[in-house]
Amino acid sequence: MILPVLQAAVLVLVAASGTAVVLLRDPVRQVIALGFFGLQLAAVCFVLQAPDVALSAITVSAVLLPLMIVAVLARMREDSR
Amino acid sequence: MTAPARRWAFLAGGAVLLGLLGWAMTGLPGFGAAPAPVGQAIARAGVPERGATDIVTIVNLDYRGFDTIGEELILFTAVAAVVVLLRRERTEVEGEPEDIEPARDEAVVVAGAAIGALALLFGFYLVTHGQLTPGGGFQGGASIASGLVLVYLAAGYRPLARLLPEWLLEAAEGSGAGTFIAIGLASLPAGAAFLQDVLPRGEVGSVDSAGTVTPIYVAIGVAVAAGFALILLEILTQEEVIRPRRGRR
Repeated sequence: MILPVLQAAVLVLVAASGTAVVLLRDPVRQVIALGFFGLQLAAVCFVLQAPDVALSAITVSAVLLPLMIVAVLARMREDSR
Repeated sequence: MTAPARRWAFLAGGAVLLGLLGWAMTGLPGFGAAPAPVGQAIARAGVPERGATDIVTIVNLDYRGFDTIGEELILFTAVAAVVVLLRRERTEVEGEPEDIEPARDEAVVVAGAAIGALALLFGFYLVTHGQLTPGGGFQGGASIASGLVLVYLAAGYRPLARLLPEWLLEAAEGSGAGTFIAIGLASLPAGAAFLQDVLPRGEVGSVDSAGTVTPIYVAIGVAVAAGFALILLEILTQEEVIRPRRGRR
């Protein structure tokens, strides 16, 4: 009984955070929302009983991807100065 | 097209897509009911035959190990592409990291050091216990790279660049990918197929229980961690240290 409710809740969170990433306008804020979105995707994978995929998803999309985007944004901002 | 017309077009297309997706979802098999017999056969034979308790790892490295070589080479190519794109050009020169970053807050330093150490330890655990619990070389290598990111956040650019020089990361990444292929080739003199598991099985549940899975995953872990760290170092070097050459060209 609790598992379908958990799956539905996590899927709703994924939809909400994905919409938030799109509706934000500032790239730096979008990056933070992207990290949160990656964490929600990993939660979906955990709840659907695929922990290996979830571990990869957490590290790549919540840590490494935002870092790379922020580093490139910092470089672009400095170049335009 | 005006903006409201675009919006209506998107809504119409989105409604059609939603209808088709909903109709497709009703035709899916139930959650956990695998229609193909291969899954049942692997689940039955995986633990006693291969000596491992994580079936996903066994499928990745034992039954379909050749595909994992392709995955590893994809990562290798991506890292090589980043290194080539961010190479030192003639119009750039290496300078000092500008003090554009504010003084690091003590909370950031302590939190980064503590959580980074935990992330590194967890990454080593994931790499070596791939065949027992969910994890493996790719996930463990990415966790080690996350630990290194936290080290960078805590300590700054100079300590990270001194701890991990470029030649060390490049050597580690290349040797990790090469060791994987060498382990595969090492089965050939034993009379078995390429990448076939010829090492003896230990008892189920111990770290050495699955033959060549652990050495392969250690090699993959080293290669993935070094690859991610190399990408990180290249991007940070480009951002903090490389400056356009001033004066006459």
